[in-house]
Amino acid sequence: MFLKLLRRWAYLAKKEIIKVLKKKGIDPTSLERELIGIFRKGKSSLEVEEHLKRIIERVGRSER
Amino acid sequence: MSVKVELENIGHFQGKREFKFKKGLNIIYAPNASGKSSILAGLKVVLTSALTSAELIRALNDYEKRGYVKLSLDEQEYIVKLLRRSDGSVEALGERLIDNGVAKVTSFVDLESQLVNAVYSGKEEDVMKIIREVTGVTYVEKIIAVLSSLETSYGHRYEVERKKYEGAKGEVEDQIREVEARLRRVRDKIIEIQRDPSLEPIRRELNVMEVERRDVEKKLKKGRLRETEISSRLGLVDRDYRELEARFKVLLEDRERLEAERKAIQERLIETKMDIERLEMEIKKLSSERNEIRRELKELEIVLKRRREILAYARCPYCGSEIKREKVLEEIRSIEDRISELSEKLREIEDAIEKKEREIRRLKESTEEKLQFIMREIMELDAQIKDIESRLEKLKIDRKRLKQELEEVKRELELLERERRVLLNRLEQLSDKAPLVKELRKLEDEEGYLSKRLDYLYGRLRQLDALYEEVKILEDRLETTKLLKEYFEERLNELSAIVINKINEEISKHFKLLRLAELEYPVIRRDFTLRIVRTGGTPSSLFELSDAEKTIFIILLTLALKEYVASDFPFYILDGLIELIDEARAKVILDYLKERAGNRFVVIVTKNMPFTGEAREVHQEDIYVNTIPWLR
Repeated sequence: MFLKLLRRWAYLAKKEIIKVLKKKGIDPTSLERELIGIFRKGKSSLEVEEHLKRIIERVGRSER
Repeated sequence: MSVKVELENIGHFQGKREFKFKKGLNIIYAPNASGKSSILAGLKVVLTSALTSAELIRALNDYEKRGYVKLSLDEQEYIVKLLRRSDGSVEALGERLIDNGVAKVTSFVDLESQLVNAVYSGKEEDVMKIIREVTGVTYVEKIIAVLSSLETSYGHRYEVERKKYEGAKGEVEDQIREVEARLRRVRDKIIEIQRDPSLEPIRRELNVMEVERRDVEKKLKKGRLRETEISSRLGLVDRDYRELEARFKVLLEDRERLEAERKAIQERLIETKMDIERLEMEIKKLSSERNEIRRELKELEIVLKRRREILAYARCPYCGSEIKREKVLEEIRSIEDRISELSEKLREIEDAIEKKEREIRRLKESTEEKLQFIMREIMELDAQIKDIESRLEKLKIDRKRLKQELEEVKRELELLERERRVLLNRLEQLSDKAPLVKELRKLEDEEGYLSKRLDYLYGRLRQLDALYEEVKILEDRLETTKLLKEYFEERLNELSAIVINKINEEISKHFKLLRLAELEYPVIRRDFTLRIVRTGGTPSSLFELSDAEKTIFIILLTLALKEYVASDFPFYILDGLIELIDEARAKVILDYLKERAGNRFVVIVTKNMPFTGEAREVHQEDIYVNTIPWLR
């Protein structure tokens, strides 16, 4: 029962996070696919960091 | 599904070999060093691109500089060429069936596999690490690590900027409080003096002047606020203009560099085209020479075949004359010499053709393709330059307008200051009529100064608020990073649970193998660790399992992983390991693999013990489809 409640809570929390991120112009589901695709092509964490930086900093600029 | 593999100079084999497989279980049963693993090495080269340099070196025959593998799978053909470079490394060129490493881990079960080695050495952590990598859990962990480092970096920058801003803001607010208190005291004193009875003779005049002064002060305050606002806007526009101008200069420099590169390539283009044409002509010439040699070779092979046939007869079946065996043998030798000479020449010509084709590719890449790439870059830069030019123009107009507005406000302020000075002079003149007026004038002067100071401080506060925008951007980036990190942490939990459930579920489908290894279900715990429990409930570890049990466990795990992450991959290859299992259990496993493979995929198993035949090279006849040769 406790585990079920915990899972439900985690599900709701994730849904809320997705909502906020989408408002900021980031679709986390497609971002996840993109990042895993980068890793699967054999690229390093540095390249993933650059990609993430570009996305996060673009959000800051567009909101401004 | 029909599978045909053509190998040239691969592993053990020198020259060309061809093997055919069918869907279902294929067992290659041949002695040691007969080339079983070479067939599988060739398959590995053409099936997956995720090979290490050591695997590529092992795949090419040690005495050859080049080789190839051709896989015909149903109607599709895949050819991968192997070329030995001058530094000894081997390069693989051509299209592979898949381009990621997942299928390599799950479908190539041999002693080169990391998973197999981790199981045999009893390293449970390494096994779980490989499972996490194959199922993609490691990637999410890496993303979280990257986000953590970004969070620290943005957090630090945000804290530094925030403290800087808050320190400056606190200082200004303290000064505002101090000036406001002083202003209150001065105003109270002014009111006190204005109420004094000694001012009665000039009160009316004083009241009029006071109203006028208040009006001027109000206008001055408004004007000063407007001046600060315009100045700060002008400052921001100036900053943006400078930034854009710097970017504009960089883009122009980039464009100039690309333009120079383009001109240089275009100058070389005619020369390169001529080179390419020359090379193509040479290839054409070599190709016709090659065709000629091939034709001659074909003819010689027919003649050789006939000569060999003649040896079996007493008289020539073609002309009826008596056969001189020595002479025929001499002829055969001479034909064979000629064939080998022509084959060598053919090989040289093919080498030369390939070299020239590579040269053409290189020339094309360095000219035409690079030129296209540069043109695209120039077009992109032009678009950016145009955009920045229009933004610069807009900023220039804004700057001009703001400067004009600032000039106007400054002129207005000057006029108001003059008006204020006139009022103070009039007050000075009244001081003869009442002695307190002098003090009143002094206080009003101070009030003016304090109001001016207060306006300046409020303006400074506004400027700081404009600067706070930068802090807010950093705060926003930090918040986005935290949200992304939370999302991926949640995904990691979800994914881990899904992966554990799915692998356990897949393992449970191979219950027969689980029983054979004498292990209990489930095999993976919720905390992503291995659970090795013997039938009957005795806890154990991977290290304690026998080699046979470990082998069964490997087959079980790879089959489960294959079903989960690479179910479309049409091969499952088990090289050598089956020999570590006793005959009875090996038979059960092979029967099981035959049943699992069905019509869906090709299972290839190699076996050499107990082989009683002589040492020799593997043939097509050594491949047994859906039968177990040593139990026949």
